[in-house]
Amino acid sequence: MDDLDRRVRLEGLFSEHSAAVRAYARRRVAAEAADDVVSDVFVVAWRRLEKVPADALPWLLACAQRIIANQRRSTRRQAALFDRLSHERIGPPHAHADGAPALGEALAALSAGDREVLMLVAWEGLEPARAAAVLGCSRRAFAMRLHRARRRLAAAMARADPSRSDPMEALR
Amino acid sequence: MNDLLERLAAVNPVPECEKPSIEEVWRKVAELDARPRVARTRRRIGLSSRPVRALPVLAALAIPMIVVLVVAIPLLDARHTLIGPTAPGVSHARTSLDAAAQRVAAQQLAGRVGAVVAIDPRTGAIKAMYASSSPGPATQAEYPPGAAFEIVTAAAALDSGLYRPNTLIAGPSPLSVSGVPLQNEGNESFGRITLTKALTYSVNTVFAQVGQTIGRRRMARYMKRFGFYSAPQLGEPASKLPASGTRLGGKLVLPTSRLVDLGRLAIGEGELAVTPLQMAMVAAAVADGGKLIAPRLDSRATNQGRVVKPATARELEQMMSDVVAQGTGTPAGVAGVRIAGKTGTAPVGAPGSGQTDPWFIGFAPASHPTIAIAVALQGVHGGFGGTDAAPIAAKVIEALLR
Repeated sequence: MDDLDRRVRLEGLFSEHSAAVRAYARRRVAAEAADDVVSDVFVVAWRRLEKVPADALPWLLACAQRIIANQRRSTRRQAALFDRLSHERIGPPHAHADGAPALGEALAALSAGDREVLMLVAWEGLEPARAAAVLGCSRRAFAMRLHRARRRLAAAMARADPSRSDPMEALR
Repeated sequence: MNDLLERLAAVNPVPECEKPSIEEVWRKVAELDARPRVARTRRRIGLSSRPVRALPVLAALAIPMIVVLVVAIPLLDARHTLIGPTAPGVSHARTSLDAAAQRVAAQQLAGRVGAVVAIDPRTGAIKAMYASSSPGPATQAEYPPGAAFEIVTAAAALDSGLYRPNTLIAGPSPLSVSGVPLQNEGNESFGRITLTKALTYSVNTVFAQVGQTIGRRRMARYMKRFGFYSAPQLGEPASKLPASGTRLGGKLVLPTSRLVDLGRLAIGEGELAVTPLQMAMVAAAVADGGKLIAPRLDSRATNQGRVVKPATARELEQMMSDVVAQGTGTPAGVAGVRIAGKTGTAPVGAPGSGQTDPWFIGFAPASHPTIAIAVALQGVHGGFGGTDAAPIAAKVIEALLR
């Protein structure tokens, strides 16, 4: 591909997906770090443009996931930030009105893997096939992981607030 | 009780986000390209900057990531090093591309080889530029434009004062052009018809004669004014774009040369090779009252000068509106919008193979254009500009006017 066509393709990808990638990053890191993640994602996309599939969003989010992981471990400042955020950010203030603290706490109590599975579906709004593509697993494996994550979230909520528990919820 | 996932969705801390600016991406690309490769690799693996004190904090989180980092990232990076990015110029531009139109173009071109270029004729801003093959033909590949090029021939004919839209010309078929018979579509012969009608129904033999009458020098002059025979800039200094024009043995040859079959050039054949971008520029110049604004991917408009008189542009607009209202371009129609356009169906491949390159160029709304467009498809069996390219243009125009 010629340089200009590559540029046009990247500009197209950016124009279509950068808002979604930015939202993904902001749900996981501080706002000031999120924009750095976004530009890093598209730098990688630029360098590997020939590998970006037609349905680009899952690929870009998978890339964001690795960059965030890389960021978290690569500098102390960001590690401390993440440490702080992982306690502050989940269970956001506006959600506290409606039983959300239990939900937020329960989410925070889950493993990072479970959390990511749930967030991809509930926050990124990805359908299972695309969420599976982000995690690089099969659709079937994703369905299983989602089922288990949901069950563990329900269990964690029950622990956080036994009065609100609904054992049937895990099955829905 | 709500499903857990729905409740989780309701506490989404960032329900949606504004689009960031792409400038930072280009800055980082330039920075990485400027840095020696070894240093880049070390930094990306994290060898030089891993903080010792943070390790205990990170250990719990990082163990799976270390696997990824140690195994996957160096592999990826090795690939980068092997493939290596080309060294691009730095763009500080916010893209002019319209995401919805790009998406529609991608959908429309799925499974076909072709390209769509849409320009705002008032500013030169490129609103859509999508090519469905690699290397992308939007700016690169060159196709014979067929009768879509008749807009250039008609512009030269009208602007030079040699023809009026109602000038009558006979359109027999076949007609000997440069010693070789030229046929109209379906070998249909026309009696004396107006230039407007010849454009509406894409009568090859009329335009071949018009081309021969206006002559080599005039044709060369108007083609150059429309941007043929020079490389478009797009505000990207690092990018080399091919110029459109007649190519003989790979070399650009002006129509002033006797080697060029002027009659066939006038109908967009005879080794004429153009980019979809160039044909979008033709539509844009007519749309903007005869002025050509250089197409750009950023927002800086540069006037490239007058191509034809405003009166000529108005006449062309009328004629091109007829093409879509009642001629070969009716499938380009969009409800409630008057569209001006021209189809092209260039025969390609072996004679009699039935392979064509279908084209549509046009602009909308015809009276106050905000979009000029070119759609080109490559190697469609039994394809026509009207049936294959025009509907794609309609969809992209619809997306851009919405």
